[in-house]
Amino acid sequence: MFDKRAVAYFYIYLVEVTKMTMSIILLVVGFILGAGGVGIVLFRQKKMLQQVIDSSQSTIDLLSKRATDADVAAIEKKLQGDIRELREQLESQKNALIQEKNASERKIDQAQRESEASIQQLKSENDSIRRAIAEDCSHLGGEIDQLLGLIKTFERWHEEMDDLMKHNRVMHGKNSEFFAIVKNVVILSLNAAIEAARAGEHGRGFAVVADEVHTLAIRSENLSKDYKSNLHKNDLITTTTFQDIQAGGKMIAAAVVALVMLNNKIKSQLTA
Amino acid sequence: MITTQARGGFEQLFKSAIRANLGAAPEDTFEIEEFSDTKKIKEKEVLILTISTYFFRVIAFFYFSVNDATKDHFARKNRLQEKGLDDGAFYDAFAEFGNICCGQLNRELGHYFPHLGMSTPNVLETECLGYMSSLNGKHVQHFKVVINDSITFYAALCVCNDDTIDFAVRAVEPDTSTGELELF
Repeated sequence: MFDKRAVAYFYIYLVEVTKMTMSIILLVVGFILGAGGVGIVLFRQKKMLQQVIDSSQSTIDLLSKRATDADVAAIEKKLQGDIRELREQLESQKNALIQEKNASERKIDQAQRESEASIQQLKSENDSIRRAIAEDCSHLGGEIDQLLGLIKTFERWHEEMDDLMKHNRVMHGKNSEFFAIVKNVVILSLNAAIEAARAGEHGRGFAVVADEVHTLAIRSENLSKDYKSNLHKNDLITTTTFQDIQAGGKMIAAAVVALVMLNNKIKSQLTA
Repeated sequence: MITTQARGGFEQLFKSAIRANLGAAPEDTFEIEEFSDTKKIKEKEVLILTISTYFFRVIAFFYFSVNDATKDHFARKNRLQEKGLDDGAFYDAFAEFGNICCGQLNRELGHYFPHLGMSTPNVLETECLGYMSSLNGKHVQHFKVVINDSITFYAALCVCNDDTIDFAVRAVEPDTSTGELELF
């Protein structure tokens, strides 16, 4: 027969080993399944272990009271029964956990397959959107290229403006010529008035005509001066207006070129 | 409306463009001051250039006379060996100066206004500027530029706008580019 104390220590050792094994298994299973299921299992295991601890404690108490052989045998039997029961429960819970793990794996596989299908669908939709935008970019590029034709319009305005300025210069020249003629007419009318005065009574009618011619020449001179002023004003307004149109045209052309570059950049990014 | 700081900005940028481009040599001295008695300007012709944005236009005027002093200055500026230029070459040189000067103003204004365009230069008789009021400029300034205490030029700036203009000139890195791509 075994020494009673040795038997008692052996059982305590068994209990401790069982506790440690349970803890390790619980830890591993806990990692696999996560907090929910493990929490329940831990709670049950804790309860069961508490029973074993209580039982061991009572055994120790008995041993410490110099229990008889019959008591030891009874305890031994009881402990063997407890261990068996624990093993069965452990096996059963292990099987349950394996099933749970398999079910979880199946769910994960299913979710993964669904995610991959969704990603594939999104990728396909994204590809078609990119293709559509790239086509729009090409279309937009064509429109912008046509819009750049407005540079030709600006060139036409430039030529027309040059013609207008040449025309103004011709008008300046003709007005100067007209002014010179009017100056001569003024002098001529003054000479005529002098000659009329010399003719005395006979030249009275001629004096009236000379005076009238002088008046007309002075009016013409003023008109020519006024016309010259208007031509200068016209030069300034025409030139600055044309320059504004020309500069505005360049500004628009530069903005369109910037649009072309931006459009090309977007297109190259889409097709990259 | 043009704010006070915008008026100051136009003046600063215009003066800076003149200072950078009208000199014939780096050691030339400049004295640029605002000038109000425009009747004293005896130059016969004026070079005109316009810078346009969506909201306003800036018209720059550079007065000149074709005489020996100005022709010699531009000959020196263009590093020509023989003294003076013929009239045709002088007009070209003066137009080029106006182009470069306004090009700099255009680039500087480009820091504050995203879309700008600049015209090509035209030459008119100075008498035309007697009608500058017909341009309805909201900010007009004349400047007298004296180089090396000997040669005098006159220039003017006219800003025409309907909307409010406000910007403050900030220190920027010197622009070393050679100019914008001309589309005409």
